[in-house]
Amino acid sequence: MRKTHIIILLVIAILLVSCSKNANQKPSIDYRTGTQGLVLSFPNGVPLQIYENDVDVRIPVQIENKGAFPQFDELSYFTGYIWIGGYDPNIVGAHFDQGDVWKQLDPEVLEGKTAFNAQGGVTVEDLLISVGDLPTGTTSYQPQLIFYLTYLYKTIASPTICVDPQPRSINVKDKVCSLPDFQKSYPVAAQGGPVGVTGVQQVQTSTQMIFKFDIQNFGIGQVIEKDLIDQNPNEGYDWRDLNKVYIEDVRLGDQTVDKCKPDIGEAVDLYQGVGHFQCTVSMASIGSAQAYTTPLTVTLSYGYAESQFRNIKILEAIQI
Amino acid sequence: MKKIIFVCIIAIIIIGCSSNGPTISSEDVYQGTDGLVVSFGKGNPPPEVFENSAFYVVLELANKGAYDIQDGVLDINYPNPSFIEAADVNTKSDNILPLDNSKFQFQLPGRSELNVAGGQDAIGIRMKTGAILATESQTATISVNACYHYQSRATPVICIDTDPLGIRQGKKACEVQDVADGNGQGAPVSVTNVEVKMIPSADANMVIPQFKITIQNVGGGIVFNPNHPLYPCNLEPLNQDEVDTLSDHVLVHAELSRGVQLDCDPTDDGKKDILLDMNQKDVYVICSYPEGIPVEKGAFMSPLNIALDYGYQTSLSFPITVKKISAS
Repeated sequence: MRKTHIIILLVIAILLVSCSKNANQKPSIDYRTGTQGLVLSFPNGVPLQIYENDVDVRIPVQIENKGAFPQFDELSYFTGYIWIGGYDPNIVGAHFDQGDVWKQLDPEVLEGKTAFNAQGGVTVEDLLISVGDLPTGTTSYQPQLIFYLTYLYKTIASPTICVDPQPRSINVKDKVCSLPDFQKSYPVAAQGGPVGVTGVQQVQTSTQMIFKFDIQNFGIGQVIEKDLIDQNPNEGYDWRDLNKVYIEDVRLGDQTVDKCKPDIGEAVDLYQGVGHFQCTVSMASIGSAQAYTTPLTVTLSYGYAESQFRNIKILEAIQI
Repeated sequence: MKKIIFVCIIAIIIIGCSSNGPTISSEDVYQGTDGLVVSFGKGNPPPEVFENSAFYVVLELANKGAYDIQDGVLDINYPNPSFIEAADVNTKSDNILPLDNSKFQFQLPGRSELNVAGGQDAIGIRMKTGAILATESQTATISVNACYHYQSRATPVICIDTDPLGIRQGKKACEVQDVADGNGQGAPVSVTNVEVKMIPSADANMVIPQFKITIQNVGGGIVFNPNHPLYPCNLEPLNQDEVDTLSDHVLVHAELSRGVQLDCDPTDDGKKDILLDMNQKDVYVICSYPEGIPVEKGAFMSPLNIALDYGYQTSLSFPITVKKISAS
């Protein structure tokens, strides 16, 4: 009996120790993950059926930032708008609380995911709908409202790559990394935005390193020109203003790469959602004689437009 | 005491659970292909009567469409006034006023949200037969013509797309589609199909919506010019030429959204409504909004309101056999 008690106490002690050990460990949050930016949804209880001559019926719309932009020091770079369309303006009047069919989003409340906030910012905007008289004989009218989000976004990818200043050296020595056949491919996970880098291919010649980048639109929306973010998306876009992702910056470690094609500041065209560009770094600028790993940081910027539909039913008011 | 408390709790639960009343539903009255439905009462008239006797003819009127009939005329034709004549007339309500023994003016409300069945009424006519001279029996037919002004309203919701060629990229709230309706609109003449087209305007900032509206007489009666809806029930008989000029015409009025009248008249006389001749193989009218809709409006759903104005004649008949009373 005493032995049994001791065994039970030991088991309990082991469990307590192992559990408390895990409790002391702080989970690390990698917030630059996922393929979403701003996401639009409708809370429960949104009215789907209203009547003619109803005034200022409130339809709340929830906007969440599920990406990693903007961070606290990037708030001033963020611009975004919500828009409403899809209804007959002769019958339905719709506006956000500032009185327009659009509203500028507040970057303070839509901060991206951070190490301290894994959920990202959330806000609720109110759409107010008023209905006039339905035409005689029309007992119901069911417009499909289209809610658009247009916003500026940035994605940062930082795969760790290998820099080997002497890839063709015949000296036998241990290296922290190497480039078999003078090239290597690096897959890259999603970076907390709807557009991101999917892979990096490194090719090393005797005089330079060449990096080829693959980028992709992962999201369900459209990449638009950055200066069209404040244009009503219900008017549509010229096809020449679509699918342009700008190369903001490419750094090897803390050093900007020598040259890119398209160059830094220029746009990469996406074709069927996919695009490519390449950058070079001269071997002469590498300060070390030893092989080492370092982050290759790519910053992309772009405009993005995505939409959600919501059906509402407007019924005729019965006259007695 | 405990039993009383227990019973009270059960009662509260039952009342609470049963407090959900029946589901409120509304019927769409703008459906169906009937307007005025006239029928003979069951057994009145009987198929066989005897000479020198009385019998009743009951006419039941029901407005099964969605339009109120204001000044309809019911014209009863007796085969031979000396053979069968109307002795007395009774109407159920003030909605039917006798003009004489064979003509009645009537009004009946159509179906609505508050009166889903529509207006109904009846006329009772006591008839007398005369003597049969030559044969054992004679057959006569009582026929009834009802003439009234009616209106059909079709309100399909269509898609207005100001970028029909898809030059501008982006998601749209709707796609342009034709609308077919085989169920009728609560009237004997109905819009069966609407073809929708968005035509680029000479002004690059505008788009012209155009609609090909197909119309069909589905009620089984005769359509008449809406300006002379009661002509078929006139006291004077119509000759064939007169019928040809006044029959088979429907006035078409179309509006887009609320109050935006469409131009359906191909002539340049300033009129927008058109008097359409129904006496052709494919009956359709093309209506458009030549002023155009600005491209910046994007794509949206909008109701199209089509009103058909016409006179309508419904007819029915009943054969009666008058038998001679055999001498015993």
